[in-house]
Amino acid sequence: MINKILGSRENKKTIQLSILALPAILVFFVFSYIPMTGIFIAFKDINYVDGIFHSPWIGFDNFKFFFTSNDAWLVVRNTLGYNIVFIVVGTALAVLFAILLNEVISTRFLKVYQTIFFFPYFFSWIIVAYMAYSLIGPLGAISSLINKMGFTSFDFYTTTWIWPILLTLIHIWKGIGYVSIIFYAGIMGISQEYFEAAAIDGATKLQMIRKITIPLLIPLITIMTLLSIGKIFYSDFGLFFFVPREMGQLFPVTQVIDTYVYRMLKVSGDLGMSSAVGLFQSTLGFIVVLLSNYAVRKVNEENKLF
Amino acid sequence: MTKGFKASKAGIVLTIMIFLFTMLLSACGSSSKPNAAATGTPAATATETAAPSAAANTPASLPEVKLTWYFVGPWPQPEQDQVFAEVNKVIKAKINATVDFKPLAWGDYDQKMKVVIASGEPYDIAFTANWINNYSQNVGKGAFLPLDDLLAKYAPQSFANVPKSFWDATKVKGKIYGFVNQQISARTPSIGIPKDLADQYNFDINTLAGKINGFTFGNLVEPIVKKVIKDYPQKYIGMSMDQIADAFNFEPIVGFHTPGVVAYSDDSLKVVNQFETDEVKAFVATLRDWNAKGYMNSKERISSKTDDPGACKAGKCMIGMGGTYKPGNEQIGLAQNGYLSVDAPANIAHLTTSGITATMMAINRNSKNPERAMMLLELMNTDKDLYNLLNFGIKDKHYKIDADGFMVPGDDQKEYNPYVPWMFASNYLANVEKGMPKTIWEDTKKINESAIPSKLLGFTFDAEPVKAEIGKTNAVYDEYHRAIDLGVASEAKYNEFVAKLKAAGSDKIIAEMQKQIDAWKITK
Amino acid sequence: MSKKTLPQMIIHFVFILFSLACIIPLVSIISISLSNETDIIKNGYSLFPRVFDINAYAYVLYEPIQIINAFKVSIIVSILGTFISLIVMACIAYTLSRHDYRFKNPLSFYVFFTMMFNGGLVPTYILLSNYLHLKNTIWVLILPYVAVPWFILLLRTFMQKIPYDIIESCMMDGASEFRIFFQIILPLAKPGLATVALFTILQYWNDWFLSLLYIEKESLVPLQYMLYRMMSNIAFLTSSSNQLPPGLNNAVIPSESARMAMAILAAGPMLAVFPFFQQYFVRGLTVGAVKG
Repeated sequence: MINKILGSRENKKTIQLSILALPAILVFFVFSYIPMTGIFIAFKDINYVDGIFHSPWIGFDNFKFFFTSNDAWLVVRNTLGYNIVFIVVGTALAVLFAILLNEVISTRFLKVYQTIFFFPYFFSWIIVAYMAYSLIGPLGAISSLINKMGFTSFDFYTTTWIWPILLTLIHIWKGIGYVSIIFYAGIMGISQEYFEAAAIDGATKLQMIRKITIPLLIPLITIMTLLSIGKIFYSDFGLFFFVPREMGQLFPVTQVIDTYVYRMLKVSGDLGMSSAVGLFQSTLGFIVVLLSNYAVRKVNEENKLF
Repeated sequence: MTKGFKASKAGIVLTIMIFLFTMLLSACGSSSKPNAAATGTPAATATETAAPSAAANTPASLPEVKLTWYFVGPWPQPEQDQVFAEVNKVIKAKINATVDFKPLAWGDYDQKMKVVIASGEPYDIAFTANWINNYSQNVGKGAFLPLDDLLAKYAPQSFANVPKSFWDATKVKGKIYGFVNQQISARTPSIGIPKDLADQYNFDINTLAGKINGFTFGNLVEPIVKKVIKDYPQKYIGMSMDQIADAFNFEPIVGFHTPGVVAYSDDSLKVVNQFETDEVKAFVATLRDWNAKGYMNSKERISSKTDDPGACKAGKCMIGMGGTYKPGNEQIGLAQNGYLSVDAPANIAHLTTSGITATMMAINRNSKNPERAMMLLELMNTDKDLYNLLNFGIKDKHYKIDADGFMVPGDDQKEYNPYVPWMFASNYLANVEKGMPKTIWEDTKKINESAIPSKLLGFTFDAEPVKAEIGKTNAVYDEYHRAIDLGVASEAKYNEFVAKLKAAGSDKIIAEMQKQIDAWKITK
Repeated sequence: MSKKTLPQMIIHFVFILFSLACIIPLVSIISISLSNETDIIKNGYSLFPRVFDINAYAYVLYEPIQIINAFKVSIIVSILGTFISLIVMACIAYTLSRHDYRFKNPLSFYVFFTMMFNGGLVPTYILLSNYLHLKNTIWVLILPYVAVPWFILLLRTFMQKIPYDIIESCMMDGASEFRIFFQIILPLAKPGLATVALFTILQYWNDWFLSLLYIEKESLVPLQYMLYRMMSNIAFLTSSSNQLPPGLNNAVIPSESARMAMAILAAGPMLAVFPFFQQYFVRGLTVGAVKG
């Protein structure tokens, strides 16, 4: 490419295309690249007399403080644990929904279902939190049902064991419409000839799904999964912050890295510590993305990120 | 293409980045320079630029500045912008400054200020105290400017008006960092009951006066609670460790949320963890017991991080505790809560460091105009009309003065009524409201003078060596306190809380406090 | 279609069940917002109003300065943000879609690296508030989301589907890249733009995070942040809790139902645009997102 002799017209083209890209380049530079230089804060003992630039360096002490506390294990466990469950259960259900959607004969029903399933995707997490509260809050319909069943002292917002289930359900509820449409499109892309040939051979519908649909969906499933794995150290802040209504007693099961960094900053005002945890997350996240991108490339060159 | 990025590509990216970086630097240069200057040695520049004598500070000779002032209260108020504009007119005329008022709501202030301070934002003045936007912690981190020189130069009147012992109480390592807003400093919470309930049950709150502490609270208060709950099951008793904190028989060093207290009666000044004292444990056990008996309505309240301040107006409260008992208490309660209650002091009032440091203004270390900020504080503390304007709004609109010289609500009071007079400056400047004794401020001064001084008076903790531990213990408190306050935390849960405090470094904090107190004791 | 189908009954049963799960939460908050407050406190929430009452809306919409203002902020941010963001992203997406662009690979790397690594909350906060002075401005609610790598990726994929022949023949005619982009590419990429526009508008409308961090000024509080604050303190709604509409004196302040009424008001506009975008959306998504 470099050896190619470039005419002036070629240069002009390059310049014009670069100008088109410039605004976005600047935005990324300011809002993404400059903050990256701020990771040095994680290695400092910030005091306000010296300011962030002149505070003394303390090496990895901030990290040490984090890892020697019990919090490190808890938040990493929660972040990874929820993400793994979300990926496994979420993908499985979305594929199932896509297959079932494909089996719906009436196109009118199909449209209606797709529209309705998309509904939850449109609400902000705050509104979802309100909705959840309206059902499982102390006055909620579900709560009163449970209380009537005899569990009079049961309360959702103080019962830790139920939250892993609830958060998983809510996460899937909100996203399944979106993800299942992607898989549905994948199924639509499968040539009808396979199914027709199978039908002639007298295959049942279930056999077709097992032998044709699922195998042909595997590359797409793999890619979607790998993309999610790339984000395994990050969580949906809104889900973990708003839906449990910031209940302190639920922290053991609702605190994830993102909310921890935020609270570290807001409750204890500790710049160094919260930067250190943020850097820890970014770095691990980066490694995982590289690995998963490498894996995507193995599966399907076309779908690699870069 | 298949094996990552080639070196040459990375090279190109790097070149672009460097190119852009230089471009952006020149673009942002103008905006980042003043900050760079401010983060240098603000303390030094502050005193140097403060050269002109105070007498020469006529508005004409002063360059115009903009000051940013953070404070807390029941904000927002519907007509606050209108009132702030009026206030600014006066300030502009007197010291040629305009103030960018940053009123924050109760629930937001602490957390917002943590971030504002941590990020080094160049605001000028902020409200600080031992109970919100924590004073010693912030001083420990170097967030505030020492005020000694500024006070002498730019606020001579206020400096003289506040007793020397008060200034001493604010000192950390010999320097003043907080501008004291004078008010009631002898502290004990007030305990009160809505007047209609008191009448209905023929209950005299004064029978409890001065008797409440962590041990006695349960037995003394339960009889009336039991009666009220029986007739009004929707009412609850809202009680928290925070609210009763000042009635415990010990004095917190940093604040109630941070481990480390000294008993009032302890001459040896031994620092202990309040959460391990029998008194707090007894109180927590009471809360637990009351929750089990259904006095707390915890089932509903637990799913909110804080109680809705509107709940009491909606008639859900009965006996309540909190604030500081002071002359005119009932009238203040009526203005704040919208109903009349009868109040009494919960325990014996002590004059403590924390009582004095309960309402202060601090000047930011990164302030670009600290001398002007101090002038503003002097102005607020000497100009009665200005102070009352900011407090109660515009005269004849938000408030009125009746024929006897008492303040009564104006027609538009609901549009501006923050009702936090101790927030802005010395409370002694406030208009006396109808229903309060005419001599209220003299009375208050007398109470301050006659209160039993704490043995620790004059000692302020330097939090710098343990600031990380304090931050961590505060996070633990934040996680557990709601469940404890509502009595839903079992004894095991409470022990877990204490254990977590230990893991977060409570013992280290206490050891540091003991060290500093022992050193202070010798110099006394 | 093959003749053998799965029993439709089962499929419909599953889907109707899930559809109910999607709709019931919305019905629940609507119903609470239309319920009588005293009844709610006594008997709890229910899926259908036991005692019908529109006091919550009367309360919320009485002197609704705060609410109107919050709507204003949200609307300005959503529209202005989507507009700027779409232009900025479409421009760079076009450049990236051109395989004959000399810096295609380094530029893609530059864009997508930001997806993989970030400086974190703290440095970003310090930069925006202390150096760029964006705190408490409308721009802080817009600019950080102007360029989203994922959406650029989506747009690029769309534009790559436009046959190169068209671009080439324009170049032969001597058209500049700007003209090609604005006159040829943008109209052809409409479905893609519509999809991304929906994502973007949704992102701005539903965002709370930026306001949580950077907004202290009451006049800049957007809807979502207002909703968040109301979760624990209804007073944020009317700013002075003494205010009650004339007909409502002595009644219980409808705090529970008013919260839900606010949630409905905040969710409403998105539900209103939803059907218009939906067709574009599903189509755009199925073309764009699969081929990342």
